[in-house]
Amino acid sequence: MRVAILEDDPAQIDLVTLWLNNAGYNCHVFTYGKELTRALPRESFDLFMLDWELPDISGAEVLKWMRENVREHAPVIFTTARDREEDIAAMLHAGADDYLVKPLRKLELLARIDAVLRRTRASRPGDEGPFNLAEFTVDVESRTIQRHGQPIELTQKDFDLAVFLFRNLGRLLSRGHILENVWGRSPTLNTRTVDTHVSRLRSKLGLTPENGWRLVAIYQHGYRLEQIQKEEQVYAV
Amino acid sequence: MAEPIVVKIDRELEVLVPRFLDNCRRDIGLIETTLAKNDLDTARKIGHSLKGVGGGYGFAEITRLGAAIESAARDGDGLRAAAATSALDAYLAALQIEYV
Repeated sequence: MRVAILEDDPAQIDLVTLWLNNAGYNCHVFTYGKELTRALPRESFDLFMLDWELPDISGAEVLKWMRENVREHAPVIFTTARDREEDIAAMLHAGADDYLVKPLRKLELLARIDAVLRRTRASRPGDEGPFNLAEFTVDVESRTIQRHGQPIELTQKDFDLAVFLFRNLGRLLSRGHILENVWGRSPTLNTRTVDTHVSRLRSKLGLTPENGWRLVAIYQHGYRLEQIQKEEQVYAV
Repeated sequence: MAEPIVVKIDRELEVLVPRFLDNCRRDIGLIETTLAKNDLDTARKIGHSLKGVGGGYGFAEITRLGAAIESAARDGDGLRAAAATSALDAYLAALQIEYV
C-alpha cells in the first residue's frame, strides 16, 4: 500500500514512517501542501495522512484541492495536535475519512489505517480468496487466471500486475504506484518496466475494446483499466 | 544529583530516540532564547510541536510539559512558560532509557 504523508515536523515524520514501513506500507513524505498538490497529477496513492497545520497551506486546503481536482477518492486521515471538539468536527466536515489526535499511538494508527482501507476496499474484488471479473477467474492462492475457463500462462510479475489492475478497476494508477506494488521499491527499476509489462498483459489477457476492456495509458501519469461494457457484477467464487 | 527517571521505550524506536532527544534539548535552548526576547508565539509553536510528538516516542512527560509550555505561552505568561521549560530540561537530564 502506498501512503502519502503530509507532515512538516521531522520527528513526527521519522516516527510515522518507521511504524508504517515496518508494517509493510510504502511511505512518501511531503512537507509542504503545495508539494503534494503538485505531485498528485502525476502520482497515485492508496491513502493520505495529512497534518492540519503546515508551513504553506493547511491540510484542509489540500484536501479541498484533492476533492476538486483528483478524480479517484483515496481515503484521507488527518493528524493533528488539536483536540478541541470544533477542530475535530471541522476536519470531518472538510472530508476526512478519519482523524487522529497527536501524539500518535502506533497500534491505534495502524488499526485506523486498516479500517479506512478496509472500507475503501469493500467495493474492490480479491482481498478474500478467488474472484470473478467478467470473463476472468482470478485465484490469488494458486496464482492462476482463467479467461472463459481457459488458463492463461503468465509470468509471476504479469500475474501480480494483472491482480493489481483488477483490484483497482476504474482507478488511475501512476507508474510509480504500479512499480512499487508489483516490483517493490528498487532504485534500479525504471518506470518503462511498467509500460513493457502492461503492453504484454494487454495482449495476453485480451484487454481490448473488442473484448469489453480498455487498458488506457494516461500521458505523464500511468494507467487505468476500464470495462467499457455495462459493469458486470463482481462476485466471489 | 536528581534521581534517574527510567522510561521504558519500544526497542523498535531505538534507532530514532537519541536524535529525538537531542532535538528536544535543542528545542529547550530555542525556547529559552525566544522567551528572553519575549517572543511567546515561537515558544508556543515549539511547545505545541513537543506536545504532539513526545508521547508517540514513549515520553508522555514531554507531551505534558510541551502542552504546559504551549498553554503558558498562549496565555502570555512568560514566567510559567519558562518554568515548564526548566522542568523539561530537568526531566531530560534525569532520563534513563530502557529499551524493551
